[in-house]
Amino acid sequence: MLSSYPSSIGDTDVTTNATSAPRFEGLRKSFGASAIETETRASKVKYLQPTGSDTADETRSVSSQPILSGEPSSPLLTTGTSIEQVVDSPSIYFRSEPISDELRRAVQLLESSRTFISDAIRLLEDGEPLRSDELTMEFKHKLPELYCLRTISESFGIVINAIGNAMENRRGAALDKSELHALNDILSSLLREPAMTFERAVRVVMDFEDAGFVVESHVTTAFLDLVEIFGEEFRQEFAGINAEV
Amino acid sequence: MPKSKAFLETTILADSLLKIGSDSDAAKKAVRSYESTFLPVYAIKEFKAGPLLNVSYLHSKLLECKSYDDVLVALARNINHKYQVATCLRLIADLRKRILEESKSEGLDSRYRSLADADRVIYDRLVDETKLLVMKAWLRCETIADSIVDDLPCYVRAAPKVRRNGQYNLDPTTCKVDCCLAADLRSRKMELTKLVSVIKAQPPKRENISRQRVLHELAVRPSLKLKNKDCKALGDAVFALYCPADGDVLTTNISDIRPLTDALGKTTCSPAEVLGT
Repeated sequence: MLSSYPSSIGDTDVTTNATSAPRFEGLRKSFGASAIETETRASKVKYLQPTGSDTADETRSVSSQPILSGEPSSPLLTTGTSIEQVVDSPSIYFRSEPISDELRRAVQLLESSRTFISDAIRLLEDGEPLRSDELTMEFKHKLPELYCLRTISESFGIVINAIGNAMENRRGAALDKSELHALNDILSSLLREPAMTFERAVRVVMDFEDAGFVVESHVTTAFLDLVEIFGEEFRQEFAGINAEV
Repeated sequence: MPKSKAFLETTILADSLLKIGSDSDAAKKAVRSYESTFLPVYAIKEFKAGPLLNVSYLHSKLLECKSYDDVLVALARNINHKYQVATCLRLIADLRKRILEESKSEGLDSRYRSLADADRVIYDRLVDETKLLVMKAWLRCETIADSIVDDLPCYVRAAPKVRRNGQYNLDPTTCKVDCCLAADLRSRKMELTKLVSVIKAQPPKRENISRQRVLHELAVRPSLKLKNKDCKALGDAVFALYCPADGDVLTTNISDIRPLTDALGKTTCSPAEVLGT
């Protein structure tokens, strides 16, 4: 469906593999042959396969994305262990960096989500509210998978969950232009800083909320009602927990 | 007819910052409808020690129990009112079922294994949400009103901190040693006496009894030092006493606060009254 719309990849340029191969060669030299496994990791390939709703760009990037040797310098750089092949990649952020499969997939999903929302904004401006809403619905389908990538960082999960709740609380109502812009902004923030600090995540969600979204779920509200009714009983027990800590 | 100024009471903070739905919407709209709004530090203190502590508690309990079902069992065990528990649990179970149906997405199970497991997802979402809610509500407290007024020098307004185990530490939630309200309230003997008379005529609830005792002691014992539990017992009376004469106490707890403000020639409004709904 998205292929009928011009696909933009945010603020970044798509580069070819022309510069990739030498870099991988450099890596190979730096790490030594033993540091870079060359076997195909079938499970990782399967893991990176796009869903049916993914964009054409995504499909290309997913099937061709090299998996690089991991450096243990960051919690995000822990899962890649081999080079499969060197091909072009639209996921240019970390094209030549050793990153985790989770982060790579998250960047792909966030980029395509942002494309959906940018196109939805454009369609709304063009007087096509139904097609705009269709794209927003397409974006919503990405949220469950994005939440599965919450091991990237605590903040990543918090922000994605807030977006998910906001969409659920809309109960199908279409987003207006300012709401779409707010959605685009929060996705861009997450794309820039997938592992932002908790404090930053709180601010980002609050900005999103200021556009009129409700980011709490009814489940939490129901739990809190339960806690509130019996607040005194709970607080007494909580005092006990505090004393133990 | 609402006045132009609102003096926000703790229930408005709780409804605006922690709840969703019609109560929350009404509280937010009511606050916005006033020309100027004031939030006393006493409301922040009550909010942190009450509703915000409830969210923090839920977050801690989730971390402790490590699963959605275990949290439900743990909460239910702590509660004596079985009928109300059953109602709440049924609501939570219904919501859980709906979320599970809504969040089904083909293919994720095989790719993400336990991270895509429905129960794990719903549990993690609850953990994420409660963690976010505590900090967000605290930060929003600072901006919900035009001004924060009636500072309490005996109370440190410290932001929630996250412990290494992931639980929140909301300390301090109490006054330091002697509550600073005592000195000011002792000089308002006439108002204290009026409030004592009004509370005597109210239903003999536990909170009314302790409030009446503290107000009476403040009126008759010039040397009385207020402890934190006394400060806490004052509760609704603080809002009646400190609300400016040209403002309304904005609260959802009309039945308890209106008699107090009436006795002092002041006014109380609920969000529904302000919005005319």
